[in-house]
Amino acid sequence: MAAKIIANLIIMGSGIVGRAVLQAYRKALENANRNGVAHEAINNIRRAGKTMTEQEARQILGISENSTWEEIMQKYDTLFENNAKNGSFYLQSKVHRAKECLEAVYQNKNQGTS
Amino acid sequence: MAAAAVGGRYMIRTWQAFKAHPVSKFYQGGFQQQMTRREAALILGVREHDPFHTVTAAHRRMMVANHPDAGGSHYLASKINEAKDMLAS
Repeated sequence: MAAKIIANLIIMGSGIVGRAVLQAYRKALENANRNGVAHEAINNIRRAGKTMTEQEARQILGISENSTWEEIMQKYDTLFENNAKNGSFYLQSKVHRAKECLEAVYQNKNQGTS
Repeated sequence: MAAAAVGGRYMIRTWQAFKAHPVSKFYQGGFQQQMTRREAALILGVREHDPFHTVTAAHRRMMVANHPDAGGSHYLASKINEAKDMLAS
């Protein structure tokens, strides 16, 4: 008997809470759209993205526009080693991603000329 | 009883997966356009609310490893400095 009442209460309660959450979410979206915060956030996410630009990759490795692949590998090895021993994993990843990005660029260049 | 067995098998599987794949999966993408405290903490290898001496010690270590005169790049050195300024203020 009591169990049925309690069950009813729980179901009603969760219904009310669920509806309130939905309303709050919708209101938050409205506010965000009005302030333009959501657009900024979306743009930041899209811009930062999961890819590295070639220019940033060159800056990270400290090389110029017309460096050879050997120079890049040298720089990469030094930086990777140093950061593995005495640095943070985050920087190591960035160095690795920079090399990956430039690898793709240089592959295309090689394919283009040969 | 069966639940314990299933749970045990799951634990064993995750442990094996953990040992097989190196935990280190490199972070994606480049640096953020606007440095955040979280990114600064990641760069220096400290926690966001670590004390001043921890942050400066980490900063010194990172600069030694990434010094422009010793094979590092100016860009990375500037990022490390920016990270330290953000956290050790």
